[in-house]
Amino acid sequence: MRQSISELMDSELGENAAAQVMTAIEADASLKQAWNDYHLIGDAMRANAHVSIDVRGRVSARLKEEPTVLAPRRWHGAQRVRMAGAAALAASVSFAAVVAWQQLARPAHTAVAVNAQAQQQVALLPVSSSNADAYFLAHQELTADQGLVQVSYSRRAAH
Amino acid sequence: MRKIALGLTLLALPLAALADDDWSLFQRVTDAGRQQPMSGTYLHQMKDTLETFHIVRLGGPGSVQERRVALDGPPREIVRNGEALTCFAPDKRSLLAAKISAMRLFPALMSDDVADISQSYTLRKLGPDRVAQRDCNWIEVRARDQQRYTERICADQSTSLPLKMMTLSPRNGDVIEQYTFTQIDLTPSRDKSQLKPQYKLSNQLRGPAQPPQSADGAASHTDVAGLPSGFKMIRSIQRTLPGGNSTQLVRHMVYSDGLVMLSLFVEPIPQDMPSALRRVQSVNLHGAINMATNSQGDQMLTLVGDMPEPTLAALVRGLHIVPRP
Repeated sequence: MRQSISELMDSELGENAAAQVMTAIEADASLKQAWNDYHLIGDAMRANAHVSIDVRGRVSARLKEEPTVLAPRRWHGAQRVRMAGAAALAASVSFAAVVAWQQLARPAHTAVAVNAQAQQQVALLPVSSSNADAYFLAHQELTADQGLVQVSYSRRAAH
Repeated sequence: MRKIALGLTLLALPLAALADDDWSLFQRVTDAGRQQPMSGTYLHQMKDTLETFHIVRLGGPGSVQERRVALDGPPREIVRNGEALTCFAPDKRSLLAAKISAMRLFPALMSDDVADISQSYTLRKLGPDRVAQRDCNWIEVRARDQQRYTERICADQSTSLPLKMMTLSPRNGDVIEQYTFTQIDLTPSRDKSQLKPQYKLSNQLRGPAQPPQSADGAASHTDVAGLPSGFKMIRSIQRTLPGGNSTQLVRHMVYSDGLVMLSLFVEPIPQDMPSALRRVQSVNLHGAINMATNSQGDQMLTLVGDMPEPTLAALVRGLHIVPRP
């Protein structure tokens, strides 16, 4: 069924099949979760995330526990999950930056990042980001332009 | 005889250029980066993000007028009028992005006092290159202590304007952040309408002639030991942090080594802060700008600046704050 969901997302299903899958998604909470996850993954992939981190080892370990392992064309599913891991990890890395533009432009990505942190235990953000934001802006205010330095240096020289 | 004299003169020209003090070359690069009139498009790359800006700069020393527009991402503009610096955007979220983009005003460098730079950095020439169809020469400014970022600049051969700039990690030479012009015109049209911002929300980052917010005498309340050599305090004020609703006063000190600026914040530890957060922590904020915090006694110390994350973390661990009576 997950395979069908993925096909539905890619608009590969006919009208009847699509209707069937949608009914199934409505009925089954775990399928609904899969549907949401795939969308998050898609969002992350489209948002310029730099997918270069290799998590294949960990993901294949996880795949062994997945019930879908024996499903037909499982390599397709596996690939999706692998990309999910990588994209989510990348998303969590950029989330650590106070200003990841994706985050500024598309608030939905916070969800991906949180999800990723739960999965990957990336301890990159011990400093609360709202807090970091304040220090960053304070730093920016006082260093906004080189003119300040010039002024200060000449004042010091005058003393 | 005349021919020989002419030949000798021609030979002497490049020799004179060689004798030219490297740091005075760097000063010219800095000046051109701030004042050279031009219009062009440049790329700014940090980690996994890549952005494009268009910049127009008219006027000359003392009367620079400049407008830069982000061509992708949140819509933003940063306008410089003499000493005044203002950002514009269509909505609040983009305005925040504009403020952050204003941290980086390529091709202007942060550096100012060349005498101070030479105390902490060495300079060497790396050879010619070509950027945006113009010939340029690479120079490299490297920290003597190997703890700060290395800066590489390809300066235009005729105007010394930085055409390409790279910030490198001191340890492995990884590129942390880079800029490059893709197209540049050094004789821009004088049409002033290209300097006019088009978005309605604005935030002035610096006024035309902003008076210092507080006396440097504040330094007498606090002594800070443990900063790397070459860093000098240029400002010290008591302030509240922007954006927050906290009224807690924070001491904010700004240091410069001539190339980069470092902020040190000292404040009482909030009572509700879990002990796990009181250890040394660091985070990458934006491009080459990092932040590290640590607690010391009942004080919390925070460093923000253009320095590698491990360096900041080590610094914040070793700082000694001695309040003076």
